[in-house]
Amino acid sequence: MLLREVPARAGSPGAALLADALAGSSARCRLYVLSDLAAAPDAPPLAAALVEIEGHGAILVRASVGTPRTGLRARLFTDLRAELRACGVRTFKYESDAELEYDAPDVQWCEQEL
Amino acid sequence: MRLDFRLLGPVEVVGESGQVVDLGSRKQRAVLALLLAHAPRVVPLDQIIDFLWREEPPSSATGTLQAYIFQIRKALEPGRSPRTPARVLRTLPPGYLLDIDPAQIDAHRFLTALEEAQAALAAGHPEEAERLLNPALAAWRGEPYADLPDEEYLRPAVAHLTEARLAAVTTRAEARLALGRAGEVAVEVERLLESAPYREGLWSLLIRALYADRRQADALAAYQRCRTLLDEELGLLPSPELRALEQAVLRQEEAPTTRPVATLPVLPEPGPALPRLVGRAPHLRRLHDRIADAARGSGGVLLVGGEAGIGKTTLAEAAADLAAEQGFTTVWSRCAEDAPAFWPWIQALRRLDPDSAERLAAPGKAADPDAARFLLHDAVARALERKATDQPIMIVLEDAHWADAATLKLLTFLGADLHRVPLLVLVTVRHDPAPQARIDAFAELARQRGTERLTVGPLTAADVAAYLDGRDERLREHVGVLHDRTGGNPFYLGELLRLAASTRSADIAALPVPDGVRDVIAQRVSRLPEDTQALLRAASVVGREVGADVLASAAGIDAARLLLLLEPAVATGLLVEVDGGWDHSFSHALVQETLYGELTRLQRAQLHGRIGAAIESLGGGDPDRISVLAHHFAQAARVGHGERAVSYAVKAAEQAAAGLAYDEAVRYWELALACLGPAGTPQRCRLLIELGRARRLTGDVIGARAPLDEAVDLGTRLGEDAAVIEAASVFGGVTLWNWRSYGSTDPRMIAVLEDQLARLPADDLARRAELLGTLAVELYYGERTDGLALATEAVELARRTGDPLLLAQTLNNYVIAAWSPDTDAERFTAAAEILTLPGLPRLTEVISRLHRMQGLMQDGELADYDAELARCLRLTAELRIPEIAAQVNYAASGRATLQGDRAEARRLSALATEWYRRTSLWGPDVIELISDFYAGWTAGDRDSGLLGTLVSRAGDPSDRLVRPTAILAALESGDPALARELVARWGVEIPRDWTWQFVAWQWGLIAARLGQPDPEAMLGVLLPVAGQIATLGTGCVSWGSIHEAVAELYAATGDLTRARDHATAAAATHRRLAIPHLERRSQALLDRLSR
Repeated sequence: MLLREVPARAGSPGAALLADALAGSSARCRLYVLSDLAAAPDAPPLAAALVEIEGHGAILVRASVGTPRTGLRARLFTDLRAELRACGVRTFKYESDAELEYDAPDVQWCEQEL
Repeated sequence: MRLDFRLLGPVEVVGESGQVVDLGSRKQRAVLALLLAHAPRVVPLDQIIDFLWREEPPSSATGTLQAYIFQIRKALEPGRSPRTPARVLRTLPPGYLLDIDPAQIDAHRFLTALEEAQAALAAGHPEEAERLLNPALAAWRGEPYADLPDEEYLRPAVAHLTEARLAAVTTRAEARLALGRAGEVAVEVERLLESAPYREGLWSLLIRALYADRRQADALAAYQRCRTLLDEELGLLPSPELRALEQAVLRQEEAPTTRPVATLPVLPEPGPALPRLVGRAPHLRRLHDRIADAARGSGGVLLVGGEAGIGKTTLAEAAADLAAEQGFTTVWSRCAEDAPAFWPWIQALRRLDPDSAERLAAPGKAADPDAARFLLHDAVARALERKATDQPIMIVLEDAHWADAATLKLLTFLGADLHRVPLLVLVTVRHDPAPQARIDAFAELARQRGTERLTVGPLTAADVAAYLDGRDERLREHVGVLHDRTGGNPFYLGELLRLAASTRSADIAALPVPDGVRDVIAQRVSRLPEDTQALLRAASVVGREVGADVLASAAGIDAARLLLLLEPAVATGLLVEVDGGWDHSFSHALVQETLYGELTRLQRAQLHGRIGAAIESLGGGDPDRISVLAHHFAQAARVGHGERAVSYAVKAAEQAAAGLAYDEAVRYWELALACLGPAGTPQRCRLLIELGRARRLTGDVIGARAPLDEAVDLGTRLGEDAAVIEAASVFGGVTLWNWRSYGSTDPRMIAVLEDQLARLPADDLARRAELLGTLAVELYYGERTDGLALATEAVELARRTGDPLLLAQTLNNYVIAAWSPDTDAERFTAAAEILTLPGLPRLTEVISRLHRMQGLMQDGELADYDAELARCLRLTAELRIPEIAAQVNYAASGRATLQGDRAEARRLSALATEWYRRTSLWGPDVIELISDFYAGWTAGDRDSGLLGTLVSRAGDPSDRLVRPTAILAALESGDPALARELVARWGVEIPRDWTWQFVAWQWGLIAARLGQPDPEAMLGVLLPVAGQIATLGTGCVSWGSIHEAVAELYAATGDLTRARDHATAAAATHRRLAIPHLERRSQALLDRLSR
């Protein structure tokens, strides 16, 4: 599996996994997808994440996995953190393991220094 | 302006523009600090992780570190393109280094200034010491690494620098004291003592300063303060030197002794010892000798062989170093499974002689492919010879176990003459199971003068111990375990040690037992970030050499991300960066093979498809990429890339054929067919014909027949008459002997040919001639007697077309189809006519000369025969076609038998058989058997030891040619009863084909000695040809005048007068031919008959 950035718009690979989140996303958002390199080229991604970046900080807008698979979400987050670090991001905010909406008032946010 | 690294205070880097560089997060700065502390030495990746995360690294540590490295590189070289290698923060396995001049670090400059100042002061130049130390001390902005106080690994460096600062201040104070500024010094030292009250050196300086400032009471008071402090705090007395100073003050000495400035202890140098070439002393000596010989003009080929990972490349690198010392130019090239024909030679020649490289890459169409190949090889040889005359050359040709046939043929061609050229070719080859063709090629190479095999074996336990010298001492107690685990394989040993290092384990015995080196590699790979692993697996599908453009395109990521993800693999030594570009290669073939082996077949297929598509998008029209594309798409054929696989395989086959690399062309035609699938289509028909034609060109007659037969069947079913004719006509191509096994026919092919002839338009003369000629050859061993007429008609039609090549083909068909004792003269004329035709390919020329030679030998025209043989031997050396080389050497063997040179006859017969076995033609063992028997008989062997083998082979109906020889052998060994039994078992058969004369002659001898068959009947058979020399085929065996056999027959019938006449004629013939041993034999027969 390999994480790569794709255009953050409808029609991109992985857009289907995050359709409603993409619709309202800002221009600062980036869409990352986790794909199986050894699958057919037109196979859909296994997971996707939409991240909003401003300066040295990043906020996870939404993350989604296609087919539930053990360790897939953790892999998505690990690769995402590495990628953001490489881009110069220093702090990463994401929701806790509880499945809460992004803009819910009582969302449990975690902030990690990268 | 260069980068300036500052650590005398918070870590800071000033860029080339003078701006302070943003170094990022704290941990990122910690990485830089670690590298700075060790600059310019390499810091292993595992050590960096250990230091940063203090023995509890998270699973993402390597990936996190890569991101830091990536960011630091961007900060230090902001304008660098991802495609150019980093110049400052470099990757060098097993880790990273800051490749900077130590003078770019403020701490280094400080220490240098301190050293110089201390030297100046000691030399009596206090003003110089102060001048050096003022700016050095002013550079301090705070505690060293002030922003990283929690990093334990920096503490030794911090302590060292702090101590150095104190030393610098002290030295400066001493210098100022020497310059008479005692008061100033006293104030400064008092301040220093506040932070370092137990430094007796400072107390000494204070006392001397006060004393020099004419404050002797204060000086004594200072001593008392020191004494009290030491006693109360530490329970110590002042040192003897301090006590002596107090006494000096009390005695009011002129200048109390100035203590020498203490020098700083040197920090121990970290870093591992460099690997050494152990266990290879004999090889290195031999390499040295061969290189020296080559420098003197006596080059050759060195075949360095051994198992994977044994150190062949390392030895080659050592050889390159030795060669460089002797002024050689060394070029490197590597064979690869999916490369175009001649690829390693093209790589090498591009550096030595670009024109020759281009000629090899695109030789152009040739009317006579065999001549063109010889000229191509010759041109390359001459170009290399010219270059080597200017400066000796070494060409390293790696991984020859993956060499294509064309590359090996060129190597063999070159190898023949290298013993007189200052050119050494060092070939590394793995000792793996290989196809027979490759084994044969290396065997032929090994026989050449100047070629030598150098086998690299495993390390001994003592070698392993030597390998560990300078490494972790804890490993030395595990020498035995290491040797057992690795079998002495150096690569395996290195990988196991790296694995141990990365798991921070010196207890090798406690490591999980790997199944082999691949398991070790797999474990090392598993410690990399998962996305790096994913990319490495994709890279393994690209091949040993990993083009970054291709990989990035296949993975759908950009250049910067690609390099980021590959970094851990480079840092851990699994990948190496290729000089001059941003491509990579696997550090060893085993790494690539291990990764590839971990993929499922479906995964491989999908990845091959992606890689192929990526290469195609990056320039699939490049001729160098065609074979690579064929390879990848063929592997991906079953996941939707079949059409492209066929297309590129066809292009690769055409390219190989155009490049005279016929074996490669066969491989690609086979690949195209495999990818096309079994469905009967016109395209499949076309590919079958091409494959058959290509196999025929390589001498694989049996292999050619199967696809051509299938093409005929398929073409018939599809109604593709043109294809059927084309396929059938390949069988009628110019050939030396009938394709078929002795005595066999193919009724199906005969029916196809007749059917096509019946439907062919009457005015299509060319095709009719081709079909008729082919049919005539097919009818040769059958019952029908119209083959001769058909062959004659084919020749006439060909004449009417005016096409000389078609005429040559049909004349050749005639020579084969008409081969009987009744048409010797006509066949000789036909063969002679072929030789007069314009534009004759060399292959056709050799074949026609061989056919002529049969007639010349039969008629005893030995001078002409020898001239033709010499010409054929020269052409054979150029053509190197197995079936031709076989027959020419058989002819030479037969000539040697005739002359009585048994040893030479046997040698040439063995050589001929070796060539013959590279084809799939009928008969190599049979011909060799007969040839060996007669070679022995020439020397008077009555019992050649071959009787059993002859009888056994003759039992097979397809080898019935051997029967009369077996019966003769029984007679010669003194067993007439066996001879009679064999005659009764097999009967007497003298077919009127190409074997007639030789078989009839043998039966004549049998009849004379055994009384069976009827001697009178045999006289009737042999009398018409008594004046001929007994000859098998085109001269495989030649025995002497048939007059002798006739003489023996007459003797057996009681007609001694005629017997003596023929014995006399035999002797006269042998005398005329200047064959003394045959003349003596005939004379002995005459003498016997005269008694």
